[in-house]
Amino acid sequence: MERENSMSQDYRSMWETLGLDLEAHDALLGVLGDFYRDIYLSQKNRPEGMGYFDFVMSEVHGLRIRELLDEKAAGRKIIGSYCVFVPEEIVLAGNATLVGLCAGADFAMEEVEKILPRNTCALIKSTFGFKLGRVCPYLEAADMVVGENTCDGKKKAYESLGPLVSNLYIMDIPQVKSEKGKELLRTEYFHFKDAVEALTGVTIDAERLREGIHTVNAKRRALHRLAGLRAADPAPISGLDALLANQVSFYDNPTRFTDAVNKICDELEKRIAARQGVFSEKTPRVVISGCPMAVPSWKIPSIVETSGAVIVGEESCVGERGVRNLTDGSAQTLEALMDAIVDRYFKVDCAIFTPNPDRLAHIEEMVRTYKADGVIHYGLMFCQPYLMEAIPVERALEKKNIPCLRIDTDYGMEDVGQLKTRIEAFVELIK
Amino acid sequence: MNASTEVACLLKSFGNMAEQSLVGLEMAKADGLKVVGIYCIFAPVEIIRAAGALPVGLCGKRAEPIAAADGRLPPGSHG
Repeated sequence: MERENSMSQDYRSMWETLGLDLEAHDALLGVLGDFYRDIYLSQKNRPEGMGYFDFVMSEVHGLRIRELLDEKAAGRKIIGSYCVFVPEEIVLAGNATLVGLCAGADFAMEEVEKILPRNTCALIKSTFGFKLGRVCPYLEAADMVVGENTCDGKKKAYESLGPLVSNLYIMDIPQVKSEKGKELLRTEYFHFKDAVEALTGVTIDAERLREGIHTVNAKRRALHRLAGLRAADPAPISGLDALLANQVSFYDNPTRFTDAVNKICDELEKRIAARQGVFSEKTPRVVISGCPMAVPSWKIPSIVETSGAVIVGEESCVGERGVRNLTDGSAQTLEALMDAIVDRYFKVDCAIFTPNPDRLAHIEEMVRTYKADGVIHYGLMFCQPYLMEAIPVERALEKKNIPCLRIDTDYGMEDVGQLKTRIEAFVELIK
Repeated sequence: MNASTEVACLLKSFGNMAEQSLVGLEMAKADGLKVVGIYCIFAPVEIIRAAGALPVGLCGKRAEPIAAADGRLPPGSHG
């Protein structure tokens, strides 16, 4: 990556204005750049269309932040989110931009552990590290930060995040898929609509909401198309690259992103027709299931794809769990469109729900659709909902003769050797 | 009986409370009472008692049974 270019004087003053710690931020970009080069740019047979994502990643704290600040200067508001339960349709309808906030790497851990218990999951710790270390320009550029009451860890951590930011908005999320649960989500989404309107001064009407639904659905459809093409053998794109597309979907301008993904899909269709792939035919195929992988948590996919297997799907918030359902945009009234949004998000099968049988059904469906030979369950240590669910999921899959490897890890690199050994053994098993 | 002996006597009766409770539980069941186990103070004991049943706080206080749970629960969940 052309790091030096990104670090032009122009960006430095922009980062300074946002209140970033320039020295710490330089160090972060340095590590991120090296990591990206080693893991991504070293891959062979990448689709040409990935050049777009290489560029986006090289400018993830540069040009994209410049764009967001230009939007702000023109009066548009930026809303930051930590979860796929924050409905982008409503944000776009309020003429605002939704961005995913940084939570994929350890940072300022010493400071973090003064505020959070040590046995907190890496994702939550990372959220605090990026704030305390002042290295997330998305967070600093946001006019509203949405914290959602999903797991216990996040909902309690937001109580401690509140005093660190000036604009935290808390959204409650149900835990049970009952009519009452749905009613809670509906109430919360109407509150959120009001809060977005109060922030932007825009009145969200049916037409605006329909347009928001249309834009977000187009993004989802492009990702569905990408996912579907991964069913081919040989796999036309690596799991790492497909994951990157899903990760970038949280940061990028949605319409531009949709075009870029569709362009890659055009290229992949040609590859499939020519029986070209990133790895040879009959390479063992794996579905990853579990906790979200935010940029730059590429550890597990990188180990898998350098151990003789290819990842053909992600059952994850940064993956199919986050995008598989569309929102029905056919209704005429604002109320009915809001209900369609509630219906859509209420289907998300996050492990905070109890019980959560749809998730297991979806994992099995993905194994069939993408012709996977096994499942790797990715759990972040101390993430109770996913670690708890991992054990019955593993047992259920094994009952159906689907091999499953259960990994509990964090963002650190200390366990790479051990993970590599376990993953290589698993790949041998599923060959 | 002076006050301190009285207190000592009273305290003694708590010494084998677990065993006493088990006996009480058996007797209650023999009398046809329903026993409702609870894991949390959010279970309203007023309602359980009003229905003529017996609320019982379930075990979760001792370390010995933990080993039997390994393999079903993530190791970090009792850490």
